[in-house]
Amino acid sequence: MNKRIFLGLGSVGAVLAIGGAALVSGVGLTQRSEVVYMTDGPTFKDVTDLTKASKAVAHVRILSAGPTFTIPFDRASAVVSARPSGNPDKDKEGQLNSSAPGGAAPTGLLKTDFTVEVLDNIHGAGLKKGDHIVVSQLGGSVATTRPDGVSTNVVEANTEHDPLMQVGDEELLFLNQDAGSARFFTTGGGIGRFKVQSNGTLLAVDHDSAIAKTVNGKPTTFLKTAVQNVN
Amino acid sequence: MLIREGFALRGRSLVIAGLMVLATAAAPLAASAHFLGGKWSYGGGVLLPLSYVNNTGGFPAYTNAVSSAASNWYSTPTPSDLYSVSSGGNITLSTFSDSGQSYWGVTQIWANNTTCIWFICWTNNQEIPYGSHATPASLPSGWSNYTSSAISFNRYTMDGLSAFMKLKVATHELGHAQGLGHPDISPFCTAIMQQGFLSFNTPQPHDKYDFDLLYPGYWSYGYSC
Repeated sequence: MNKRIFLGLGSVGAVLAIGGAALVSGVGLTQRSEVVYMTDGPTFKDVTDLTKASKAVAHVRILSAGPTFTIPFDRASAVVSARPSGNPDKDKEGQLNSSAPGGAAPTGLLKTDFTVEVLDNIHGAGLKKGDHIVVSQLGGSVATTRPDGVSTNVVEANTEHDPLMQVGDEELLFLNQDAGSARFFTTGGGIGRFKVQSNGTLLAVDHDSAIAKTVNGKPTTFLKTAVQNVN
Repeated sequence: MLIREGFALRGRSLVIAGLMVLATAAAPLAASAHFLGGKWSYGGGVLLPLSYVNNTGGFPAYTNAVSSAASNWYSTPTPSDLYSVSSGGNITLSTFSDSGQSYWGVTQIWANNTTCIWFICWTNNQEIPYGSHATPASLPSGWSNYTSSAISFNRYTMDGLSAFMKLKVATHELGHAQGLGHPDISPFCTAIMQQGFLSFNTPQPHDKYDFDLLYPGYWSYGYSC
């Protein structure tokens, strides 16, 4: 009996010791957090609308992801405006203050460049099979690294309806080009992305878009033909 | 005659039964979507006061859109009460310029996340996780109420928008900052939380219904599409 108690207490002590050591050293305690960017932007009612808003449409394979970088916010000054009024029920409550303390604000948004290989140029001039182009996407992954090289905080940011591309995947992309950097980006974020599944059918990345309902489950030729029929 | 009356009665019953089925089918839809997960601390009173820092000085079109958007929400029969401060606000609004994306506005929200392994717990201030939006307060256990939010407007894509649309985007993003998501609604329904160009730029009945569902208490807006 005493031996069992001794062994039990010993086990608890060992676990605490290992856990405490891990806490102190950071080994095995990488903090991972996922981030979502909620957005607003243009939407497109059908394939014709989306094609006309795009510079190019291409079937691509995602080859690699570059390092995540930050698009900085403008360093603009704060402007204080008058408190809203005109709702009688609310006005008579007076001007209450928030019970939640203010938080630290971010300094920018994360973006990542993906290198993709053009497997088929479906629409638009300038791209040809075998080209490698860079497609920029909102979101990315950043890690805080200690001097000894251990990652202690990994943040992965995805945009709602437009998650980060995965290396090795094939997608049909509706593209526009940033005149300044010459990098491409997808038209309407996730609306302009269609994943080519292993059985050759399409799955809209933005599953809530109007186009998703007409394209999901169809072969890639369906969308390619629809795009090529747009004048 | 009797047969005709019988058919008329049966027809009315079928219509009523059909409406009941529709109402039953629509109610869970209304209650199961349209939220980001989590919310701000709210005691159930008339007001949910939240301060915002409007860092859009130098860009008056955005400054005006933000203050008008706050008024838009204030005028609704919801607890929304957004007011402007010079620093240390719950919500921070900024601008940036990026020609390499098509988005107009982006919102982020943070909350505290406490993780425990046995009785060792630690808390981090994190952004709410991807794909968590479902029912009100549906964040996994360990998450606190919201602690802060940040909104940013892309001047490159928004400068060309009309003042009407700038106000739409600002009202939409402030809806996110208060916990509302993109609603999956029928084509016959309208909501400011829909993405894209809209013919209105103020919260719609559906938005008010969702808001009061997320923050139940003094206000209660009837179900609307």
